[in-house]
Order: sequence, then C-alpha cells, then structure tokens
Amino acid sequence: MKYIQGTLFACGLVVVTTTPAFAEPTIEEVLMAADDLFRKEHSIVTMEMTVKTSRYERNMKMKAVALGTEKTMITILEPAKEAGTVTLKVDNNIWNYLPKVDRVMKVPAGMMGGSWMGSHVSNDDLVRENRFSEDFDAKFIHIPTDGNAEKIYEIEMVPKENTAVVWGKIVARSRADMLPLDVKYYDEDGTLKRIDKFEDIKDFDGVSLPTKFSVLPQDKEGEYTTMTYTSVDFTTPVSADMFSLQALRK
Amino acid sequence: MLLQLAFRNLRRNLRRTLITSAAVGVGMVVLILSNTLRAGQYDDMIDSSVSQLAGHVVVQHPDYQKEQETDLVVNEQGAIVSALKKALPDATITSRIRLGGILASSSSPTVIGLTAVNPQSEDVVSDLPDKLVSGTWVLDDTKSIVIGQNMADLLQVDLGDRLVFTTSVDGEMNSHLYRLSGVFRTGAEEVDAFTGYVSLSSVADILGQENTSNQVAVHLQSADETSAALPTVQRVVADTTSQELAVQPWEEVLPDVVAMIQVDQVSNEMISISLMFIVAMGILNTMLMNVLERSKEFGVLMAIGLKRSSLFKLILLEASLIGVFGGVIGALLGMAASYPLVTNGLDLTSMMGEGVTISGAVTSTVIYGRYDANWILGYILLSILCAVLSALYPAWKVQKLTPVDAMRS
Amino acid sequence: MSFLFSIAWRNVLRNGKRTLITATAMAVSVAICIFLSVFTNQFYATFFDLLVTQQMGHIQIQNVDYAKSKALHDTIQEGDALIERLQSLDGTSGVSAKLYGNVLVSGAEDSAGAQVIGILPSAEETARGASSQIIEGTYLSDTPAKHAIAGVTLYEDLELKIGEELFVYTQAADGSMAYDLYNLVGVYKSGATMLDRGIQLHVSDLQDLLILPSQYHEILVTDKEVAHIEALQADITNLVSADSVGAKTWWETSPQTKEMMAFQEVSEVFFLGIIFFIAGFGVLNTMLMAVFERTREIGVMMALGLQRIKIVQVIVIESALLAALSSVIGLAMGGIINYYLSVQGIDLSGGTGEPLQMMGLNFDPTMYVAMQVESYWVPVMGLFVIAMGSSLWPAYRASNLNPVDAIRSE
Repeated sequence: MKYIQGTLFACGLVVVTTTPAFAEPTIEEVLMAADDLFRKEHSIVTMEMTVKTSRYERNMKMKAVALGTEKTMITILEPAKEAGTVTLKVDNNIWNYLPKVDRVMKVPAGMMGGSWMGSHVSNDDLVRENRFSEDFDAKFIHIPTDGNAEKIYEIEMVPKENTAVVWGKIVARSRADMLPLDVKYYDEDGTLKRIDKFEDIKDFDGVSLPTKFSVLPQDKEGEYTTMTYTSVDFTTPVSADMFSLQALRK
Repeated sequence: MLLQLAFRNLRRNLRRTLITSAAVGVGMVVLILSNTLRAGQYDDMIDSSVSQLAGHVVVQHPDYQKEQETDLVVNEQGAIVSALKKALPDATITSRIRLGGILASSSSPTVIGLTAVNPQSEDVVSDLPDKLVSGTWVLDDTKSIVIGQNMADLLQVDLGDRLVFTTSVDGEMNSHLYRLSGVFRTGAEEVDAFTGYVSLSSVADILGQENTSNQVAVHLQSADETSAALPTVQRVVADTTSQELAVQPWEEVLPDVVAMIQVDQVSNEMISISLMFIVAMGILNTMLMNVLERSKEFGVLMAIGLKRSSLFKLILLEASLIGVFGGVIGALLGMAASYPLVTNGLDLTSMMGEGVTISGAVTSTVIYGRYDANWILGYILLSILCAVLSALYPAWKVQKLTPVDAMRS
Repeated sequence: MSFLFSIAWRNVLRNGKRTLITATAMAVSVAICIFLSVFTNQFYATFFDLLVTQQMGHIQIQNVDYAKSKALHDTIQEGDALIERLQSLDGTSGVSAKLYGNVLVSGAEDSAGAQVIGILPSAEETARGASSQIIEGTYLSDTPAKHAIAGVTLYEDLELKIGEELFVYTQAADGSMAYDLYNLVGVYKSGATMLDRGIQLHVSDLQDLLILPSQYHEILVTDKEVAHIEALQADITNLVSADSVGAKTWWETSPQTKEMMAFQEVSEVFFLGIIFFIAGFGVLNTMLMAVFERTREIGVMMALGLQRIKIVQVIVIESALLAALSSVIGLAMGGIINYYLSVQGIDLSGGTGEPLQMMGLNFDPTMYVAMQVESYWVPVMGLFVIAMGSSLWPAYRASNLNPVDAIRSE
C-alpha cells in the first residue's frame, strides 16, 4: 500500500495528533490519515536501512527528498561502494542513476517485481497505487471506544472483484490517534504472508511520526527489512526541478 | 502370348521366382516401415508447431515476423476472422496476442510469456486443452488463466487463486487480475515453467485497445491444403481491411521447423539411400543369376523358333512380373508391419520424457506412423524398375547367343 | 580335406561368371555395411562430443543445492584452488568453469533481460572450440579486460554494434546493485536458443560484478578416457573437501541426456540391424540361388562317386572361399570409402555449407569420419556365417537326390 512508499519516500508532516472529539472518523479518514502521514508538501529525510536475509545482511544509509507523493529521490550515502546511487521515482516510473558508469537507467517492466536495493521491498511496491475506496471493500473490525484499553482502529480490506492485487485480505491497524501500527497481508486461504510494522513514534517539528518501518515476510523465517529515520526535515524547501533525469546526473 | 509364357516360366521355376521376389519384398517391407515412421514423425512436428505457434496461413503485421513486438497488430481482427470463417468454412481461425510480463501470486512473482487466445478455436487446434492436469481450459471471460504445472508450483497456487499479471504498455505499467482456472503439463520444462494462456478479451484493457491481434491464423485440415488456401486468405484480407498486412504460409512463419526437418532428412536420406541401394543390389544380383543360369532354357526356346527380340521381351516381362509381384506383396507386408506404428504409435516416452519442444512447440514423444501413398507407390515402381534394369544386361547377353551355344552352356 | 578344398577351389574358378556376380554382390553388401557402421558410429561420436563432452563435460562439480535452486549464491567456494588441483589429476584432459547470472543488458538503442555466463576463454576454446562460433568480431581474450561477447539473437534484437559499450545491470550476491560497462568485442552463434539470447564475459569480470570472488556455479571436467569416468569421479570426490560441493557424472547430472544418447544408440543399432539384415538376406538369396542352380553339377559329382557328406563339405568350403573373396573385395571397398570420408568428409548440409543446428547443437556441415577398422569385422563375420549357413540347406537337399534325378534337373 501507500504506507511503504510513504515511509520510504517519506514526506511529511502529519498530523492527526488527536482524535476529533466530536465524531468517530470514517474508514476513509483513518486510512487517509496513514497515507497523509507522508502526503505533505515536501520533506528531506535521512534513514538507515537494514536488510537481513538468510544469505546476507546489508546496512545502508540514505537520504530521501520528496515533493508530494509523486516525486521522490533517494540518494545512497553509505556504504561507500554504493554511495551516490540515486533512485528517482516520478509517478509510476523508477529510474536509477548509477554513478560508477554515469548512467541513468529506467527500471524495465521485467524487473519491477525484483527487489529494491536487495531489500524485501520490490520496485513494484514503490509505485503500485491502490485507491482504497475504489479497489477495496473496507470495514472496521475494531473501533476504540471509551473505556477500552486497546485504543486501536482495526480495518479489514478485501479487494473488490477486479482489483489487480494478489492479496485476499489486508488488515491494517492504527492507533486511536490514527498513527499506523501495522498492516497484515493474507492470501485468500487466510494464510498470513507478510507484515509491515510501524514503530518508534517520535516528534519532528511538532509532528508525530513512526520512525521505524519493517517488512517481515512470513514465508521466509528470520528475514526482514527495517528502515529507521535518523532525521526528518519538513521545513527546507524542495524544488520540483530536482526531480528530472538531467538533475539525476548531478 | 509372351505374357502367358512368362507366367508359365515363373510358375515352373517357382523356387527361383520366390527367392527373387523375396529379395524385392523384404526390401520393400523395410523401406515402407522406415518411411511410414518418418512421414508420421514429420507430420507430428509440423502439426504441433503449426497448431501451437502459427497456423497454416498466417495474417500478421508486416514487421511482426521479424520483431515479435506485441504492439505490431492486426487492427480489425474480428472482421478478418469472421470473413475468413465465411470464406473457409472447414478451417479453424485462431487469433493470438503474445505478451511478456510478470505474473505474481501472494507467494512470489515470476516471468511469463502470456498468449491471449480465442478459447474456442484454440480448443480445436491446440493439444494443450488435452494436457490439463487440473481445472478447465481458458474460458471466454476476462478472468481465467491457464498456466503450466511448473509455474503453478513455483507460484504456489491452486485453482481459483488470484494471479496478477503486470506488463508495460507504452511505458506504462498495467496490471490485470486473473484467477487460475487450469494447469497444464506438457512435459517440456520451457513450456510448463514459462507460459500461460488467457482469453483475447481479457487483455483488451491491458493493451488499451480492443479487437486487435498479433496473428490471425487459418488452420486447415492438412498442411497440403496450404498453397490452395493462400490466395483465398489474401483476397479475403484485402477485401476486409485497408491495413497493409502480411499473409504468409507456415513455412515462412516457422523457418526453424522447416530447417529442422531438412537437417533430420540428411541423415535419414543417407540411410534410406543405402537401404535402397542394398535392395537394388539384391534384386540385380538375383535377376542376373536368374537369367544367366537359364541359358539352356532360352537356347531351347530359340531353337523352337522364338525370335530374339521376343526372347528379350520375355526376359524383361518376367523380370517386371517379379518386380510387381515382389513389390506389391512387399508393400502389403510392409504396410501390415507398420500397422501397429500407425494405430498405436511408437512410444518413446520412457526415453525422451512426455514432451519435447521443437522451437517452442511441444511435440508428443509417442510417434504415430503415417502411410505415405506417394512413397509407397514410388517404392513399388522402384522395385519394378530395379528388376527390369537388372534383367536388361543378361537379357541382352542371352539374345546374342546362338541356340546351340546357349543349350551347351 | 585338401582334396575337397582343391575341388571347391576349382569349382569356384570354373564358374567364373557366377562367382563374379555372387562375390560382387556380397562384397558390395559388406562395403555398404562397413560404410554405414562407420557413418553411424561417427554420427554417434559427434553427437556425444557435442551433447556431452562439449556441453556438460564428463563430470560436473556443483554446489549440491545449485541444480535445484539455480540460485546465484549456491556456488563452489575457493574454485580457483580446486581447478588447479583438478588439472593435476591423472585422468583429467580438460577443466572448464562457469558462473551464471541473470542481468539486464542495454546497448545504445534498447535493453533486454539476458543470461550472462562467465567463462574461462581458453578452457572453453579447448573444450568446444568456442571461438569458431564467433561470427563477427573476436573471441574473449584470456586476461579479463571487461570485454563481452553477445549471442546473435540478442545482438540483433538490441541492434548492438561491435565496439560499443554494453551496460549490464543486476543484483549482486550480497544484495547490492551490480552494474558495469563492457566493451562488446564479438558476436557468437551457438544455435542454442538460450545461449544466443545471452552474453558471455570473462569469468573474473563476472565474479567481480556479482561479488563472488573465486566462486563458480559449475566446474566441468573432461576425462581422457570415456570409460574411466567413474574412477575420475571418485578421485574428484576425494579432492573436494566441502560437503556443499558434489561431483556427478554427466549421466547423473542429466539422465535425460543419457536417455537421449541411449535413444540415439538404440535407433542407430536398429537401423544398422535393418541394413545388416537386408544385406544378409541378399547374401542368403545369392547363395541359395547359386547352390540350387547347381543341382545338376552336384549330381555329376555324385555319379563320379563323391560321398554325400563330402559334397556338402565341398559346397560349404566353396561358400567360404566365395565369402573370403568377397570379404577381401568388400574390405578394400569399405576401407577406401572410409579413407575417402576421413579425408573428404561427408557433407551433411545438403550442399549449403551452413553449420547444421539440431537440438541446439551445432553440427559441422562436413563430418570427417575416423578410420574405424574395428567396425569392419561385424559385416565380414556376418558374411561368412550367412554365406556358409545358407549354402548348407540347398547342398544337403541336392546331395539327398538320386544322382540321375539331380543330373536331369535344370
């Protein structure tokens, strides 16, 4: 879902700090709140990514600059071998700038299912866009009520007839303040296939934001990808000019 | 008169006649046996490649043959298909789009070569619907997909499961939801692991264009009708659409198959020719013997007034009777011997697995023989020719003799 | 005996015409059988060489998981040291090693997914004459220089040009992005669909790209003697210390190939059998005829007081003499054909001179046939057995006749 793109290409500000006192939010509002976490004007974020697979462990540092949700540019800072590699996402397309050969490559259709930077996030995850209201039948299966110790919203989403997703069911949970907690992906037989987790809520410029995001594939034991924000800057302006192929080369 | 005499001679020298015709006959049996098998094998290869990869006559974009790009399309495929159906009521018309992309299940994604087809006509021409291990063949809806067994295993999917196909069209990524309706198993890994079939209607929204096709193909009752049907198809296509399209016979569309058969023929011909040579040698030898050993008999015939030219004719007549006799009996025996091949086939499954691919088309490893009437007739003629030719020299020799010399020898 | 022998010898000489016809027919049969044995043996040997020796070597060493997983990381570790030790083994005639990967290849115009194979250029050259498949440009040099050669299909699809920089992109074994530029130096045409859609690099270059130092997916060992493969396999198994690496014979690696070879062999034996059968039948025929026609002569011999058993012996000896004469002529003819084919070769291409491609294998359009004296014996032995055997029955029958009847018969 958007969460992943949002987290990776995080931008932004957010803000549903408190549940509106006057009414329960709609499903749309809860889901949008999660999306809106990252749907801000502009942001500059640094983060660390750890990928653990049965074969290797990778640690990377990167800087992500975003303008809205459609334009994002991620530059690898560490390890040194990959430093300077840039991924540019504009709308549904992804390009990589490869400094060693000074070349820009558009990720072709055949590789969209492949892993991004060796992580458990696929290129496709970065661009796939599902519109909840159009693509899913969603319903609350848990709503926080007064006196309930578990202050969470739990929303079950079942893809509509023709929605082109592989999942049979998605269950998203958000805190009462509408910050996301986790998303579980099931196949149609009800087997849990993957969990996305949001943790470590911190305050940036007065905005609360989960700063640690993990993908836990359920059919590969012990494997995970974790992204942790080390700094978030919502104030420095970002120019639209930098999201061009020409700008990539710099 | 000579004919009667020839018959009588043959009957009288029954043993000699039998030995000589046996030489002709056994050769025939072997020639026909190997020819039947080979004809069947080539038919099989042509049939499976033509039905799966093309058609006997193919209508496609002029550049499609070379570039094989999904966006090189026949625009008004629907109209062309129905016009062709009307013009060639006995033929089956298929229409196919081929596109590459990613097929993903909830477990993993994999690369797929997807063929969008007209399910009904495909059911008629293709073997795949008979090779389903579970489920049903592609339905004419926008959901059903049929994939190979190895791919189904890799994706860990069962019938009814969701499968998302994603491809790039004009640089845009488009996805479409399918549900697994059937799984086939051809035994050929490349096919079972990488291919899938859906209906033409299901890809219209992926491609963003309706009523197009990469190849409209005419499947005839037999490959022999190709050249007769070609002009009809050309005319129908020209009448139906203004788009410039290539109308080609299968030999041009599947040059690999033609090449393959040609290569195979080299070693087969080597064996065939040696075989014919040995058979001819056997016939020549027995005929030579047959005639030379009978000098005395011919001397008597000359002495009682048979003209030399008639003697010459008599010997050739006897030879051709032996040729006909041996040839026909041999041909009948040969056909009888190959009958099990024609009905039950030669099962090579244990040696080669269930299916082998020939340039991407799956061919069964049970080879059925086919009687090739032209060749069988040819072999009969060949045996007669051999018999007559090999009698020429001794016949010419004998008629040079004087009756006395001949009787004395 | 020598008396019978001299009678037989005289008979053979006296019936000069018949002897000539019979001997010629039998000699031609022997020669054709020799030619076909030699041809099919060579065809089989060529097939074996192409399909087994060149494609897969005699023994394959792989990570035990690789056959199933085909995963980038299931490699043979410390491969260079292993290769060195393999080369010093007694039975080894050649060692080649490969590393495989799936990459995105881009030229100036277009890009496509392709398989890349890292090879040891000189080892491939020795094993299968790899450089002869180069149709344009040059082959890889033995020192890694970031050069690449491309399969002809890929070359045409991507409209590549010799000398241009190929951009190769993939994911390395450690999950990182792997990419580099390689100078396209040559184009090869192997006839195998998969190969012709791929590219090949020097294995060191590919190891650098994929971050798999000194690692290989496959090490292929060729044995000097095909018969000793199992012994060599045992030696190699002792040599390989790691449990994760296994050595298999070619038939263990690909039972399908073994079956295909078995099929090839069976069908050749089958065809050869048919030819031998027909040739044998011709000989039988000739002998039957020759003896039956001599009933009268046999009668004369009986009338002269020769014992029946002796008569049978004379005729069988005659047949043996005839067979010996035919063998000499047949062997000479067969030998000449064999020699001619070993020098001139057989054109398999039907005059086009193009390499033949069958089952992804490249057959040389001209097949040179080795001198195979060992395949001469079967036709000759067969000839003797059939010639002598088939004279027994008519000889016996004739000798059972009363001399007067025999003389009277035609």
